[in-house]
Amino acid sequence: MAAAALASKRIIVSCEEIVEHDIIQSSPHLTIIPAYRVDAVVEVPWGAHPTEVLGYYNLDRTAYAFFFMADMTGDGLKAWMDEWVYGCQDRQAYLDHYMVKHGAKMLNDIRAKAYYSAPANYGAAFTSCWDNENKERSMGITLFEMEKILEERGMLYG
Amino acid sequence: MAKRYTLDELLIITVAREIKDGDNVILGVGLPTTAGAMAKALHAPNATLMMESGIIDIEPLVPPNHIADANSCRGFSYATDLFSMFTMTYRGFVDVCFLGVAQIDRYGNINTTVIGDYFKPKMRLPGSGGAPEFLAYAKHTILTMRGGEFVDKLDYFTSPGYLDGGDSRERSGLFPKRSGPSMLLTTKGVFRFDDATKELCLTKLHPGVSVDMVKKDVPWDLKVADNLSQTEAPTEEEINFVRHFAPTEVVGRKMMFELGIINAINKAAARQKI
Repeated sequence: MAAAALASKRIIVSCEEIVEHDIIQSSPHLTIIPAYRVDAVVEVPWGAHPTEVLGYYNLDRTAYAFFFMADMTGDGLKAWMDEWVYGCQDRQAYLDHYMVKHGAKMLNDIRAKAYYSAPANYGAAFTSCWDNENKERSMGITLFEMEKILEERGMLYG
Repeated sequence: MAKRYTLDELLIITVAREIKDGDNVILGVGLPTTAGAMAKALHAPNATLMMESGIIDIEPLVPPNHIADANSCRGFSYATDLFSMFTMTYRGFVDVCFLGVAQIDRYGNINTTVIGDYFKPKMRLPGSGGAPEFLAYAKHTILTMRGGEFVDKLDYFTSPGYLDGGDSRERSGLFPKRSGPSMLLTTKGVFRFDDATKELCLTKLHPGVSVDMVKKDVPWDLKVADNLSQTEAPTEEEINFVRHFAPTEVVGRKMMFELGIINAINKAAARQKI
C-alpha cells in the first residue's frame, strides 16, 4: 500500500488521529509516507468504517451484512446508497445516523483494546559535542580554549 | 566589531544560506551536514534534512560519522532505504544536494572517479556513488571543491553538469528542466553558472583573495561577474551555532586529530599509564 501511495503524483491522507511530531520521530520505522509527499491531511475518526483500522476498530460485520443484503437487488443498493452515502452530508452525519439506527454499543463493541508494540530504542550516547564540563568530547578543550588556539594559529578572518 | 571566523566556517555558512525553508535536502558527511543543521536551526526550520542511506527528517545534534549515523540525532521521521532515496530523487523530490569535486570543467561536469588514465591511475577516487543521480535529477546541486582542480577536459566523466554548455543539457532530453549544478564553492570563492552559456562564472571572492589568485588555477579564460563582490561575512549567531554544533569541523581534521591525541595522552598520564 505504501508503494502504491508513493507511486502516485499526489497523496491525500485520511487519518484517525493527528499526533505530535515527536511521536512520529520516536518511531520512524513505522512511517510509510514521508511528510514532503503528503499534499493534504484529513482527520476523520472512524474514517474507514465499516472496514477496519488496526489499533482503532475492527471491521463492522453487522454493517457489512446490511450492505451485502442490500447489494442483492438493484433497488436495494440504490436505497442503501441514498441512506448511507447521499443521505449523509459528511462523516459526522454518517456516524450520527449509525448511532440512531444501530446504537452506540455496536460501535463500542468493535473498538480496539490496546496492544502496544514494544518501544524501539533510538537513543544515542550523547546529544552534544560538549561534555558536562563543557569540554569538546574528542579534543578535551573548552570553546574558549578552542577559540584561543584558532586565534594563536592565525586561522581567523574578518 | 564583527566576530572573526575561520575559512571552514565561512564555507559552511555560505552553503547553509543556499538552503531555503521547506527544501528537501540530501546531506553528505562533513560540511553539508553542518550547513544543513545550521540552516534548519536558524533560517529554514521546515527544511527536511535527509541522508541517502534512508534517514529522513533529521535534526542533527552532533555531526554524523557516516551517512547512516542515526546516533547524530534524537529520532527522525521516516526510516527508509537507499533504493527509496534514489527513486524519490528520480521523481524530482530533492531540492538541494551537495557534491564534493575532484575535477571540474568549464561547464560544471564532474570527475570523482580517477585522476590520470583509468587503467593506470595516478589516483583512484571514491567513484560515482550517487553523484550522477543527484547531479542529474536534483533541482539544485551545490558543488564544493577543496583541493580539487579546474581542467579543460576531465580524466573521467562521472557526473553531468551542463555538458557542452548553452542549451546542450536541455537538448539532450536526459534531465528534468532547471536541474543541474547551481553553485561551486572553493576555498577561494563562489562560482555560479552563466544563464546563457552555462559556463562557470566567478561571483564572490573570500577575504584576502584576488581575481588573479583564482584565475591562476583555471586553464581557460575564466568569466568574472560584473557585480563581483566579497563573500558575505557570517553573522555572530551563525558562527556560534557552527562552533557549538561541529567544533571538530571548525578546527579541521588535522587539528582535531592533533588535539584529540594530546587529549588522549593527557588522560593516560592522569591514569598514570605513561
